[in-house]
Parts: sequence; structure tokens; C-alpha cells
Amino acid sequence: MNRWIRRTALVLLALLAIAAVVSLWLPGSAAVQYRDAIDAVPSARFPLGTDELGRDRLAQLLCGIRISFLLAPAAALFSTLIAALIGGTAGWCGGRIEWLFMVVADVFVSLPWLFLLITVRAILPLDVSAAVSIVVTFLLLGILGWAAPARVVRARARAIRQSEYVLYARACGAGRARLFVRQLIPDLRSILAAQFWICLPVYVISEANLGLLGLGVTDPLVSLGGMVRALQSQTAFFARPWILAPAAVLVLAPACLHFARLGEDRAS
Amino acid sequence: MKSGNRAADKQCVWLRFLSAQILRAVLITLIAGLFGAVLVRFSPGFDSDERDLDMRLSAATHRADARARAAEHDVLAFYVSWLGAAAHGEFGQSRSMNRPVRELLAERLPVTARLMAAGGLLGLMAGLLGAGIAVGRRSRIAENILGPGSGLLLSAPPAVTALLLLWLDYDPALAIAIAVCPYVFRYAFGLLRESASALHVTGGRARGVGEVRLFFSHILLPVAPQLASVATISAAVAFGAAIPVEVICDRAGVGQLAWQAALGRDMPVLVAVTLLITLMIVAVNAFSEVVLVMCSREPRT
Repeated sequence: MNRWIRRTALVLLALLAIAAVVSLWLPGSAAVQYRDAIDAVPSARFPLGTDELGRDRLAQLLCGIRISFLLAPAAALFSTLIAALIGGTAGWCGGRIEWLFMVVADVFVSLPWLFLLITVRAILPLDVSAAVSIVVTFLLLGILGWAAPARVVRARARAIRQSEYVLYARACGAGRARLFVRQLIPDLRSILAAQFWICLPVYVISEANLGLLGLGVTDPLVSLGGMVRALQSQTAFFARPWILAPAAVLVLAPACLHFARLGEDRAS
Repeated sequence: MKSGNRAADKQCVWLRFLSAQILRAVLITLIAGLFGAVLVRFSPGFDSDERDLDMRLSAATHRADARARAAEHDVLAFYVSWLGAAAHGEFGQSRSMNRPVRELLAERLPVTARLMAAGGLLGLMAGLLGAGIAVGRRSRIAENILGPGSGLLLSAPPAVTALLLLWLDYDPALAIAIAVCPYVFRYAFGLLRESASALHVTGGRARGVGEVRLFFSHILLPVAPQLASVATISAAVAFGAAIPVEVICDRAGVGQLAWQAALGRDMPVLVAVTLLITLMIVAVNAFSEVVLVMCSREPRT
């Protein structure tokens, strides 16, 4: 059952990624307004119809997927690297450095993530360009999301530091720097990969929440959260179910990212 | 004599443990408050106020406003004076809403508390029940349905869930329950599965002990303290979900206040809300830690 779900998730993810990449070469863009087709129903020309400004919903959706699929991994990689650096150093060094790390990590973990995000995102200038807003949004996700993975990395680094083989290596004269590079980093690789995959769906969801609160990616670029935000003003969605496509993708994409890891935990 | 000394030592260890928990909670809360104050102080537009453009206000009022803002320039001084006032129950005046922060919090706290209590409890019960069924039934079908189901719920952003529930005219507390439930399920399921795989459980089953008795006495009971600490996860997740739910469903709670304060760069409100949220979560964390340690009867020093 798990294998079947995992395979389906991987296929869906691949399809979403291919659609997002292929759409780069398709004519039309998410920002183009078709004034002859305002709020149009699905047709061969516009498979998901157009919005109230005459923009192609499918082009917008593909643009949103592209942004999420490109920047969520970048943010996850960034926060995993910070977690590796801070958590690894804290666990490896121990003592006051570890204590200081624990206090800072506890502060970050104690505050609800979304609250931190809206606070930090809201204090940035209001007149940032769309491209900057994308980078800032995902950079913030990367910067604020390090604490939880870093705690896991710290625990592992600490266990390695206290392990017998490290003790033996030190007794044989191996330096701390050499042990860090030759023993700690290779040993942390699997944990870091797992943390990266855990962060991915979380960042896609966080961006959606930010977008829905009006603090995500700004116009004219489109994000999945921003598209769902536009649905707030819609009422007759039963009569026009295709407008729910961004909400469906927003649940489907993180779910696929999540299910793609099924069975890995037990295997490791 | 020896047993008296041992009891005194144990009491001392407990006291040290409890004071360390309290100290940690206070320290984290203070740092979080300072963090909020620093962020807002160095944000662009901190010095500007829309009241400056209000021609109906007199020059003296403008000067008073400027003086009040100048007092907030030194973030540390502002924070210390704010903490002093907060100790007397005075949290300052909201700049964007022009009302005392204490009043705003008193008005909105019950709304969030109701939403979080209803949604959090519902999510907690559903998660625990699901985990109990998945482990207690020992059926791959239950595990295979509930596991991916929780994964799917985990992938639904609370804002999207709130939007769907708003359209369907359901109570927004359900969105919080949907956010809390998968977290609780995963945590409880992991604990119960580990407990169920213990050798004495297999032995009991081989000797013909009934499944119900086996579940309650030998699977659930040993992990009950850890399951109690699941309340920590529920509180943090429930508040995280309360922000978008209150904003989207237009509920005048603390989550919506935090959002409005963040948008309006309202420093006194933001610092108060940051402290309040951190204090709440840290207190729940400390409580669950104490419960865990009390059950293991051995404080970690």
C-alpha cells in the first residue's frame, strides 16, 4: 500500500514539475490580460478559464507551481545548511556553545512559525518588487526554519562526539577539525537529507499561508497562496469548480512531497 | 537518618529542576519579547505615522506624538520600560488602533481561547482515537487508511481549510481541529506502536490476555505520560493555525490582532502578543516536561 502511494506521489510530482517547466515555452503569460475573455469559463483556449481581470488561470497556476517548486527546495536547502552549521557546531563543541544554541533554538521553536513569518515579512518595505518579494519570502522561510532541524542535527552530532569510535580516534591523535570533516559530516548526511525533505512541504504550505494573508509574493507574479487568496472573494464555487484548482494543487503538491518519503523513515 | 538525608536530597533535586524550568521559561519569554521589539524597531517606516498627515491635529499633538516615538528609538530602553509597565498590568497604547493594548487583549483573548479550546480538543481527541484504533485493531487496513489520511490533512494549509469551511458554512474551530489532528495522530501512533511491539505485550497475547485489557493496561498505560505531553504540540499547532483561521473567517481574536499589528507595525501590540504567545507555549512546554519527569520520578539535572 505504502509503495503504491509513494509511486503515485512521485508520478504526480514529476507531472507537476514537467508541466511547470514545459509551460516556460508555451505562448502567453500569467500576467497577460485577455480583455475579450473576462471571467471566461473553461474552453480549448483557456482550459481553466480566466479570472475577473481576464488572466489565464492555467498560466497562473503553472507560474505558481514553478515558483513553489523552484524556491521551496532552495529555501529548504538554505535552512538545512544553517541547521547543519549551527546544530553540528553546537553538538560537536558542547558546553556553553551548546547551551547558547539551545536557548536560541528554544526561542525559535516556542514561537508559532507563522507568527514569526508574518512579523518578519510585515516589517519589510511595502514597495518591494515582485521578484524581490519572492526571494524575500523564501529567504525568510529558510532563515526562520533552521531551529527544528538544527535540534535534530545537534542531537546526532552530540551522539557522534560521545561515541566510542570518536573517542578512539581522538586517542589515536586525530584532530578535532579532521574528525569534524572525516567523521561528523559524512555521518550527518542522511539526517540532513531527511530534514531537507521534511522542510519541503512545510515551506510550500507556509508560503501559501503567507500568500493568503497578503504577505507573500506580490503582483504581477503569481504564487499558489496568492491565487487561493483571490478565491476569498468568490462565492459560487459549486457552479464553477475549476476555480478551486489552485487550492487542490496546494493540498496535492505538499501531500505528494510528503508521501514521496513514505517508508524511508522505517527503512533508515 | 540516612533515609531523611535521601529525602532531603531528592527534594533539593526537585527544587533545582523546577526552578531551572521556571528560569528557562522566563528567559525564553524575555528573549522572544526583545526579538519582537528589535524587529519592529529596525523596520522601514517605523518613524512615520499617518497621524503626522492629519491636519486636524494641533502642532502640540504632533510634537507629543514625535516625543512618544523618539522614546521608542532606543529599543532596549523601550523594552525595559515596557516590561516595567507590563509588570503593573499596563501594556501601553496601540498606535494603529488607538486603544490600550490591555483592553484589546482582554477583548480578543476569550475569542481565541474558545476557538483553540474547541478546535484543539477536537483535534486532540480525534488524533488519539485514530492512533488508538490503528494500533489497537492491529489491522493493516486501519493503519494504511489512517496513516496516509493524516498525511493528507498535514498537507492542507490551515488557511485553505479555513477558506473551504467558510464556504461550506462550518465552524472555524474545525479548521484548527483539522490542523491539530494529524500532528497528534502521528506522535501518538509512533508511541503506541512502539509500546505495542514490546516483548511483554507479545507474551501477554500468547498467554491469552484479552486485546482490550492488553491495550489499556500494557500498551496505553506505559506511554500515558508521553501522550499527556502531546498537549504541548496541540497548543503550539492550534495557535499557529488560529492566525490564518481568524483572519480568513474574520474572528476578532489574538491571531487576527497579531496580523493587524504586524501589518500596521504596531510595536506595543506586537511585543505584547509576542510575549503572550511565547509565555503560553513555554508554560505548556514546561508543564508537559514536569508531568513527564514526575511520571518517571527522576528529574533531569
